[in-house]
Amino acid sequence: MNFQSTTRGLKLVKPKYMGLVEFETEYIPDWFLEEVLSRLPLKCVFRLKCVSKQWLSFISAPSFVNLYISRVSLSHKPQPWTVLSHRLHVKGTKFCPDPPLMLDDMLSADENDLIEYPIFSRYLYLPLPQRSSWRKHYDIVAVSDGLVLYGRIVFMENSINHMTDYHLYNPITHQCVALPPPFLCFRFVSTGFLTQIEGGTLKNYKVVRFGCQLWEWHNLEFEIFCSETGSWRRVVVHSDQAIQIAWLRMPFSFSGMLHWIDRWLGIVACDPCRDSNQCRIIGLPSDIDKQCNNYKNNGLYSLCNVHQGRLRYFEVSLAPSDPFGFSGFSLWVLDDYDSATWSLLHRTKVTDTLFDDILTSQGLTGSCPAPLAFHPFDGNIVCLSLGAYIVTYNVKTLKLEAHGNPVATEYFYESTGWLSWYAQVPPRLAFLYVLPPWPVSIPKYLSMGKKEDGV
Amino acid sequence: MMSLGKLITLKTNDNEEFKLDKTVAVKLEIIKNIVQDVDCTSNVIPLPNIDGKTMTKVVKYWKKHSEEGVTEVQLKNFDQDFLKMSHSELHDVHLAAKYLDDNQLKEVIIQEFLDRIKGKPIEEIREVFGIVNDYTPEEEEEVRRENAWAFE
Repeated sequence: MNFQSTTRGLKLVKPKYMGLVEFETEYIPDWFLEEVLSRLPLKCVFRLKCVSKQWLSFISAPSFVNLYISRVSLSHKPQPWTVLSHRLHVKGTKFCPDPPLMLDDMLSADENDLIEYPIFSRYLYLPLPQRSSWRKHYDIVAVSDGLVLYGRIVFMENSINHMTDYHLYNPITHQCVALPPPFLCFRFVSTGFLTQIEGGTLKNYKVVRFGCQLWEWHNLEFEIFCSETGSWRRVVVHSDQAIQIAWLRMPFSFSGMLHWIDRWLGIVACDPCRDSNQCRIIGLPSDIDKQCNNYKNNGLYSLCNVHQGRLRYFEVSLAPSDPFGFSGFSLWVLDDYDSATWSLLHRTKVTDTLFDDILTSQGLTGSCPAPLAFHPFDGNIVCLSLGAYIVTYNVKTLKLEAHGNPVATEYFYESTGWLSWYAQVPPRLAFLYVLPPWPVSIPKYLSMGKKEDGV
Repeated sequence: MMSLGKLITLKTNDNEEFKLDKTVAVKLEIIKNIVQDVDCTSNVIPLPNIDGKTMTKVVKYWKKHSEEGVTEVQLKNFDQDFLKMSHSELHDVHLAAKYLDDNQLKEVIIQEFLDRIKGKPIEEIREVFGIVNDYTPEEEEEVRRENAWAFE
């Protein structure tokens, strides 16, 4: 620092200091609120909104929220995260384990615990935000920015299980907003969820329902809800190539577009919210195991999503390799989004992977794992479900490790489309949930006048 | 440039003078810059933004923390005693530390404020900081209800 900047510093500091009001009055200087409140744990900060109107408006201001978020990210401590089971359960029933791992545990996790164990790698069963009948099936359909979109399956005639009764739910604050019912009945629906957040507040959101067909189809039918209009509208996008979506995988969003996996063609990139009326096909690597996305598996054994800023495709090679339940793992990265060129990042044979003691002793080497999500912070790790465990696979160490306790193996009656079976917990569908540094608030003008508060 | 080993005099806005060993003073960014950049023959550095009462505390802190052979435990005990002051005094020391660019002292003060807030009921925080509750009971109830999750 040279002399000039020093004098400038002196001049700047002087008037501010001389005129400052002391603590004796009810006015608390902003530096205090900024420096001190931004370092307090989340729950504590929200409680302090009750101190006075000055504190409330200070804590609610987008500038403070942004400061708080940037301070969290500067601390380089990973946010706790978990995998959400897709089924919402009514508290107190047998499917909501006792004691359930609640979000509260994540919120109040001691900083030191997190350094050692940032993964809450047990399935988190969210309770339903409202009191409802346990007979009704409520499912999470998507998660974005810590907000959960869930809906209810209604059994219709013609063996159609119609997903309706959509709700937007913040599991931290229990803020819950009901969407108006959609009009279209799809046999299978794959739902995209796009949110836009500014200064800790939800600015707008879109829910994109895609009616998946059992056969190849040129006209892709969508029903889209925009928070700006507050209503659903039907959009049909024509594709030159026949599309057949692997509907067990939820779409992911990347650069403002939604992406689905087609059984044969690769990634279908679509922005049905804009009136472009077109979709683009991004071919997958040529040497993938096509079985993963076929009619039977519907994408259960492949995972395509944004990881470390780029699109990655992970697959479990399904050809059995006795005595193992699968033959290996592969991971590709999309080098260039526009030209759709992929590079193989990692490939391993099951005989070279290292199962940890738990998995070996539980006899799980003969089972086939299903990828759940890419690790939110570590580029080398993929989370999978294997038996009743959440496991991580590390591409550097080739280690498959079980985390947490196994999910109690209970069977429950599940019905999807015209198929009904007794499905096993853990569920086939699960959602990565990273605890947001600041819970997103849903403003009143987005709640359609039908606000429902938590349990 | 001043020669080594000399004492530096810091002069507060109420004309109180503090003589400091240079090795202590140059730890501070602001003093270091003045010492390096100004031909400071009189060795008196004016501190127009700090009063004598506050500076006494700051200097006490500096001296203890630059004592030779001082142990961690001693420093911890010293800090504990040092921080036993009113909120407005802490506030003044924080501003002085900010002006003098002493990050260590600044952090210590902020940590003390954090400790005074953490886990305290709202009423106590208001009382401690002398904040007047300007909510009506209904308004306060509403804010509490909207943030009920944070009280669980």
